[in-house]
Amino acid sequence: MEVDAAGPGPGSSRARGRLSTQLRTLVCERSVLDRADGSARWTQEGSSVLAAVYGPRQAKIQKEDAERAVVEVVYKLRAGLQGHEDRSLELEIRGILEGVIPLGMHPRTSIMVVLQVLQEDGSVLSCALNAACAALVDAGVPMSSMYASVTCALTADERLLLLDPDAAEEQAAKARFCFTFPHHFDLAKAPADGGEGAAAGGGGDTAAAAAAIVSAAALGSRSFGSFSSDQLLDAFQLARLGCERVAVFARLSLTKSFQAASSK
Amino acid sequence: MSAAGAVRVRQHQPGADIALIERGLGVHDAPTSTIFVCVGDEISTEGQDGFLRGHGTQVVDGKLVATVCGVVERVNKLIYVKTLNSRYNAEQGDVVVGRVADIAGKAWRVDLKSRQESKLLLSAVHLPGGIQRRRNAEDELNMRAFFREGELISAEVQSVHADGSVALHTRSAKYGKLTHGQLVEVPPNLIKRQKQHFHTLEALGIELIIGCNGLVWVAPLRPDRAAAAAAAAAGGAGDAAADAAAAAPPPPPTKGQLEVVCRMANAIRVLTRLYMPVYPASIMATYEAAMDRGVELRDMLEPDFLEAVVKQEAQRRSSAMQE
Repeated sequence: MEVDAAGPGPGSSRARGRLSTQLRTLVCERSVLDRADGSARWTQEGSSVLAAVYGPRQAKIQKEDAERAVVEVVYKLRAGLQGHEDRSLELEIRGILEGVIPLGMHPRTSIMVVLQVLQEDGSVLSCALNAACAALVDAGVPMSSMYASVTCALTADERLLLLDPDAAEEQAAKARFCFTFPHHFDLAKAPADGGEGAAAGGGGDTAAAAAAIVSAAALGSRSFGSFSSDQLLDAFQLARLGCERVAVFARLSLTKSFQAASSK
Repeated sequence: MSAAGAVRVRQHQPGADIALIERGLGVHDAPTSTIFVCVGDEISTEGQDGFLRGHGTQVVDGKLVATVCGVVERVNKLIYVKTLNSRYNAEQGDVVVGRVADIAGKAWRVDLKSRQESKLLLSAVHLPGGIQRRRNAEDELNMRAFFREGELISAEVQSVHADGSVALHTRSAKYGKLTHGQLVEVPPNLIKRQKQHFHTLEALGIELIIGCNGLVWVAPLRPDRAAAAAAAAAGGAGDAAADAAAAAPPPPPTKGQLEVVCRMANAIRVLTRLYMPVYPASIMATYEAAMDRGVELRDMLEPDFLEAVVKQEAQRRSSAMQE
């Protein structure tokens, strides 16, 4: 299990100087659970979600589909029972996962993703989506692309868009947006290939950053509150930038875990 | 065997195993030259006339793109992406160990810990006496006499259909029900496909079946099964005699035999913890390392012995590289 971190220092709040377009510290631990096919724990400083993936495995007869895999998502709160909003979050996450997993490859199977919220401090849906992506990669489930998710908040005075808000900022916000973008890396643009570039350390970071390409089309968007269409489009663009940084971090974290494993 | 009263409780330290391996192998000095790909990365097919697309890849807009994160492996014209851990993908001809999950209409559903359950048709089972005849309704009603739900069997993959469902067969005396032994679950990536998956270690009195799906079976060697295995290998002539012997109930294993079985199983668990390939030579090397050091059965999974195994493997690799 590897722990990787990127972003501004611990305890970063806007009061302490985090810019409106800066993400919080990201931490990703892979292969956390023994019995799950794949698992990951994604932490965005105050928010932490543990994702476990079971599958593709034989689906129950009532649930199986003869032509495609069935994706089941279970979203568990830190405390308390599930409410109707959590069920709609499960639907949203399922929709995003069905967009990236080629379901026709595994007929009659089920892929179950269990998300357990361990800590809540804003941007929990994004945290859960990122954890699910890392867990799917850990499980070796084929995907057509990886994705990254980021939350934007529109302040009450409608003047600022904040990236990766914490719980206090989300409460005070007029509107909240959670965008998910698929990304891929253009290896042709990077000066060195992924493995050697990252092994070089600092130089590898910039090489990987240059090559991250976030799609112009979003996989999912979920909003709360009221906002104008201009504000929505601004948030869309800001979220794309944020997802680029999450993508770079995810790639670096994967590189390190593969290097550690391949040297065994 | 020492007193069974004491129970050991150890705090789970995530990452301790990896730290152990890194210390033993001296990883920080090791060069990292493996090229790995992420989901969506393009795999270069330059310099190749044509290629065969394997697991973990798909063709998008004429380009070969990875669908999983892993290391690109090229074998002649086959290009596939090998992940660190994934469920077992059945291939025709694999020897597998599975558990009967259900009996449904002329077939047993066998759980191979793969993506789908596999089917063992009644017509694909070796009948006692080695006779070949049409299965009738009476055979169908007596299916439980062959294999009941929950029993372990060894079988061979007959075919893999387009939708991924697997058909098994036990058309030889060496396949069949497995009793009186221990099952160890191993990640399927650690098992290499080899010519022989049935191993009889006569010096230790152990029978070893390394299933390609990651289930490894260790059992004390029964003289009648040894004869059956030998006969099956030699040819079908001895089938009738072998089946008669196999039908008799096995003698209960002795304490010494049980200890050897447990030691072998622990040796396999050690290899699994250290993510090392599991095959007879590596299992025997670990077993002998434990015997040489006088490690007690319950101490085989302690960090001390794990470190010793890692160091031994490091020495073996460096001497192999020097040759």
